[in-house]
This record gives sequence, structure tokens and C-alpha cells, in this order.
Amino acid sequence: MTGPPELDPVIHAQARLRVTATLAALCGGDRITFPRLQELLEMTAGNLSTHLRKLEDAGYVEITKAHQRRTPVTYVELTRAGRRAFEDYTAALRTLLDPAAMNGRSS
Amino acid sequence: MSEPHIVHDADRPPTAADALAIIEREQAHASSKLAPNIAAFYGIWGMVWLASGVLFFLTASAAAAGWATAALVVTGTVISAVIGVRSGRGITGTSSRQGLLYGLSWPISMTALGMLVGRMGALGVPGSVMAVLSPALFALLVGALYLVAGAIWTSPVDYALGGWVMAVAVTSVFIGLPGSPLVLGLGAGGGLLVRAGLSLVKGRNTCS
Repeated sequence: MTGPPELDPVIHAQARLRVTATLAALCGGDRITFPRLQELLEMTAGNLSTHLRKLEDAGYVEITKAHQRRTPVTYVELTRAGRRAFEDYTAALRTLLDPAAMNGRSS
Repeated sequence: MSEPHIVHDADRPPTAADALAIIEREQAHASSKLAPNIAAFYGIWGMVWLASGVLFFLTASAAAAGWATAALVVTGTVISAVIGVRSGRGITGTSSRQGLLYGLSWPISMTALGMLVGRMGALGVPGSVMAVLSPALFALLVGALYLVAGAIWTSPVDYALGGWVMAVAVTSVFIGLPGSPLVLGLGAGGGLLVRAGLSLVKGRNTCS
């Protein structure tokens, strides 16, 4: 990567950034139910669904539907690509905020 | 602008500084809700060990101290189970399964040891020997489980705590009555309370 880093537009929006950061706080290989994620983020179900769909379309989030004692449960997790994209995004932010590091990288 | 949380245009791209602030805040919030409050675990069990050790040391009636200890252990177990279940709500996967199995290894091994110790009494091991050996055996097992926790979550502090509690258990057997309950109470209980204090200062990374 050379020059000033570009911020991933899929993650670089307030709501999706909040969703991605929260999912990245889970341990790798863990999934969270939709209602618990909604509770953590204090977002409406419709709003969260919309943003999750965008993240899913980008391949950053995997949504699985399972059944637990006949009740359907929706699980959400960050994919490997999603975790990677979030790490790259965070690194890009730090580079943008620290010009010294950016100069060091481009020279 | 300085408080991105209340901005309603959720699709508006934040500034780089705001974005970093959002990440930090969301992850701290998520971790505080998702990770079990380990300071509470250590604090509760530190108090149980301390209270029980002091009770056995001070009280003439071992039966009374025994019942009081049983009541403390039941209370501690219920609180620990509630803390563990609440934090793991809605999460499934490798680390949550690992946490669940580790959590369950406590009641499983303590119950097994309880049955073994009970049988020792029935087999005719004298009361004075039981009074020294049985609490030391529990402390030994507790220490071993903390060693395991230290290994699973690569936590040197928990590993050291495990070693310390085991050393206290062995020491108490060499000291014998009447001092051994006090050694266990202060040593094991004190160690756990110190660990509780440390986890308040710096939380454990809950991913192994």
C-alpha cells in the first residue's frame, strides 16, 4: 500500500462502523444473536438489518439462521474478510491521523 | 460533532478522529457487556475463603463453621452462575463454548472432591486429620483450576495465582491445627482478593 490510505466506504459510515466495531469485539469464531447485537447497539431492528445487509453484500458479515428448540435464531458474525477489512480500516485511520507515520511509509 | 453518538445521519462518514473514537467506545461497551465480570468472580470467592478460614479458626464449633461455609459456597455458586450466564447470553462459538466448559469444570470437580472427602470420613479417617486435609485438598484443586485458566487464556497473573493457592494449600497441611484454617483463609482468600483488584485495574483479554 502506497500513498495516503483509502478508507473502506462499506465500513466508513457511522452506523456500519458501530456494527463492525462491535462484531470485531467478539472473539474469532464466535457468533452473536440478532437481538443481543441490537441490544448492544441500541439500534432499531430495521435499521440494523439494513446495515447488516450492506455488510453481508460486501462479504464482511455472515448471517446464519438456525433453530433452537423450534425457535428460529439469527446469528451474526464477522467473516475473516470482514475482520481483515476492519483491521485495515483501523490502520488506515491511524495513518491518516499520524502524518509522521504516513511519511515514513511513503518515503 | 464532538459526540458522534448523537448524530442522527448514520450514513454520514465520520472524520478519522471521530471514527477512531467510535471504534474505541463501541468496543469498550461491547467488551464490558460480553465478557464476564471476572473481578466479581475473584472478589466473591476471595471473600468466601477468607470468611470461612477466619470462622473455622475462631469458632469452637466446627459444625457451625461448616454450615456457614456451605451457605457461603452456595451463594457464591449462584452468583457466579448468574454472572456467567448473563454475559454469555446470545453468544455462541468457539470461545463461548470454551468459557462454558471451563466454568462447568468448577462445579464438576468440586462436587467430585466433595464426594471423595465425604467418603474419607466414612472410611474412618479421624476428624482431626480431615479438618486439616479436606480444606487443603479443595484449595489444591482451586489452585490447579487457576493454573488451567492461566494456560487457556495465556494469563500469567492467573497462572501465578494458581501456583500461590497450591503453595498455600501445602503450607497449611504442614502448619496443621489450629492455624491451618487461618493460613488458607488469609492465603487463598487474600490471593483471590488481590487478583480481583488487579482485574479491576486491567481487564483480562477474554479471547484465548
